[in-house]
Amino acid sequence: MSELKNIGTHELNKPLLLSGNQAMARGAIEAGVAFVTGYPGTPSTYLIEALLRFPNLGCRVEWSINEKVAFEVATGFSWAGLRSLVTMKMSGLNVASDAFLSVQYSGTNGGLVLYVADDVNVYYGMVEQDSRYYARLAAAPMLTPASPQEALDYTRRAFDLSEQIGRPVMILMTTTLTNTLELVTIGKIRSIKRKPSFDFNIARYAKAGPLACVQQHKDTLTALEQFGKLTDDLNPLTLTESRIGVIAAGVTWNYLQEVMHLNNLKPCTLKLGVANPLPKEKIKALLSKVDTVVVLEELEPLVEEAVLALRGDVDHPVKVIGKIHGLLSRTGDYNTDMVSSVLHELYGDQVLAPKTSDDLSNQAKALKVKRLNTFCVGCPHRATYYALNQAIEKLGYKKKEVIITGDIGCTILGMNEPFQSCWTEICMGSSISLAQGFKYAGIKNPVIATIGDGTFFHGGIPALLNASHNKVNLTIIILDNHWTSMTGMQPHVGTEVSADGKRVIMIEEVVKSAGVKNVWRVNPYQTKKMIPILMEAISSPDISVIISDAECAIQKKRRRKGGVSLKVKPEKCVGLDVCKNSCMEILGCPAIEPGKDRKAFINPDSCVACGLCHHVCSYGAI
Amino acid sequence: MKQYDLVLSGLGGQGVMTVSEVFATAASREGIQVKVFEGTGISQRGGGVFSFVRFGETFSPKIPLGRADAIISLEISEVASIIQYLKSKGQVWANSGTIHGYYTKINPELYPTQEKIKTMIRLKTAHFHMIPADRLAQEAGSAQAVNMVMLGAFSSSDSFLNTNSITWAIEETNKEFASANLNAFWKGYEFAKKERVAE
Repeated sequence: MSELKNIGTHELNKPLLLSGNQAMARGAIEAGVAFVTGYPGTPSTYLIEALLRFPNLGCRVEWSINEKVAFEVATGFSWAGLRSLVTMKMSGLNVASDAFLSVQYSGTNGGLVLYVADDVNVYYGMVEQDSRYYARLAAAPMLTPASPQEALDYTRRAFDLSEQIGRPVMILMTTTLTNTLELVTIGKIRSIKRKPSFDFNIARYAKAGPLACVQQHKDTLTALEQFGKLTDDLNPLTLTESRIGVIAAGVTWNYLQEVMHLNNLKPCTLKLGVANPLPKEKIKALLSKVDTVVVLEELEPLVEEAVLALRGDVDHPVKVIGKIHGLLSRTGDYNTDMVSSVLHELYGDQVLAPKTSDDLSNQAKALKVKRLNTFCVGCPHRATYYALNQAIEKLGYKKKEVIITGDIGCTILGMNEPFQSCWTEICMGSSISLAQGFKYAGIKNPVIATIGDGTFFHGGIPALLNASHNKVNLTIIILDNHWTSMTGMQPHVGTEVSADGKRVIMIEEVVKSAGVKNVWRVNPYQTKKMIPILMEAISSPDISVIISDAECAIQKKRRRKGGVSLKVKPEKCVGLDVCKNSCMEILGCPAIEPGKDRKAFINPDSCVACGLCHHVCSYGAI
Repeated sequence: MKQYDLVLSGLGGQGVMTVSEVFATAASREGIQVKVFEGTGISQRGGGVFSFVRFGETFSPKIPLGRADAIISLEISEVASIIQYLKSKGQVWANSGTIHGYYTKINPELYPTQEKIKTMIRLKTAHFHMIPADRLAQEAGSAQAVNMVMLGAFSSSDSFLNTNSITWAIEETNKEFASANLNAFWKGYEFAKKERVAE
């Protein structure tokens, strides 16, 4: 994304080219937000990234250690009367949900907006989750904009709404919207100067006994109902002569508009800009005018179920077309072609079916080059997994005799070829606790957990304390590259370096105070030193922690001017087809290519001289 | 100009998104409505990337199948991932350069021949242009600027956006590398112009 767009501009006459994330950031500034925090999780990451590029926006912006903590800090702002915004991807909402539900019931004072980005169709990774169910679960109001312009407008308004009803307001975007750019009309930036204060009210801000808790529940439901009335205009209903109706939630509205425009259709339509509460009266008004209604919503049939429940309230039969009866998909993201297909079923030739050619798509499929998501050139994780595989082999174990649990972030790429080291991935910090479970279950062979530094701080520390306290025989490798790298190199609590060049928070201090005696800090590029340490740790009957410390190669490269690269001595290299331990095969480094006679050639434009291939080559050719 | 749909593809780090933003910035200067959808994924680690750019009045950022006026691919085999969006007789602009990944380095036969790719394209259109963008970028003094070479080559033929707007947008999008990017742009532009005269 371009870094030049000044989302803090005061020039109102010029529309800005903004993504969904950037538009939302602008909306928050226009609403006079005082504090923005979150945890990196793409597709939500770029909202805070956009704000951090402009330090003079008049609000505090920072990454938190995890989503739950972020939400709680923002709640402090809200309860002190100031406006705050919290950002996270869907997996982060699962982490923050404990705090979120509790605060939803207590309510807010200053406007509090919770932005969650669902990665529908899984462009980036993790569970394909429909977070609208959290709004249901928490009786929380939720807005679902359909375009960057709406993302800005809804966000600006969400802060006012939150203060009107005294509850957090959720805004849901999906990858389709976070990654869409369009020209957006901006508004004035409001400057809100409020003195922080606190209303000392235990019945509201604590969970003071069953009576207070049930009262909180009642108040939450009332607030939700009030929200529905205040946002009725965000669910525009258009009734025509047609006996066909379409309800379109969030971004599906765009596809419906496109199909209507291309085929000159005029069905009755209901656009849903609010996912919770659903506008029951408008749904009934639509049902009473049509014989068939199509429900367009990505992932779960949440609206469709509501429509089915309301169908009995109208006095004629209405056919409901959605995903419960199979026409529409419950997975993946929608597009114009999917909407064309379903309307083609209803309208026949009046709607053009999508233009597909089996011959072309088969050929295209056959020609698509299989590509591997692997570690970047010079990545220290490549060295760590290489050394780990070597250590396991030298201890006499076969690959499938040792369980290595993986964790979230770049470190999980160790599951891919050529390493295939990580066998599991659950959620942030779970590698350590899962490994403990394997040991408890009676796995005799070594169990090893691998986790990145950011992930360790986010969710791994309680698991380490638990394992250490219970004296579980585990090896934990913390791959410490100093940054939250997978999401674009954000800093975390362990990144900061003090004036004397030392890290402010040292992972080994945390590990030692958890009661772990076997602690090593190693340089993964020095594989010959690292392998025996790994072997010792894995063989030890006690819990061992190895901190594999080397900065993310991309970050390191950014600071370095010029550069050196390694060279292959062609007279020594025997080539990919002859070599038993070819660097190209066992390391998969993108900088090494098969050159003349299939001998290794190191691309000087990519190589960062990490030296791993030099250590690996058994012919001394590098 | 009523409407123009463009699909781009390439590999992470090649600059598909930068080209998309240059197009969008240029369009906004001319007062043309524009929408971009960026399909990135965890592309920095070697995966494919695509992008939709839609000019004119559109409702959705996603281009329907078989409707794109042109496709631009920064790596020849990546044409295969977006060809289904091209309308029949649409234009294909592809960098003839290849990028091999882990699997095709070890087993080069897994990488399709240029002939096979051309046969696939011919199912859809005869209007295709193979541009030696890797070489041209190097000649322009910036091996990284393959994306700008391709942008230049494409811009030499289609005048739905003013060339001045595109060069202006190149400077706007990245001030630090503006002159290197412009060199690469013109290299691609001139190459494609000459090639067409020769045709």
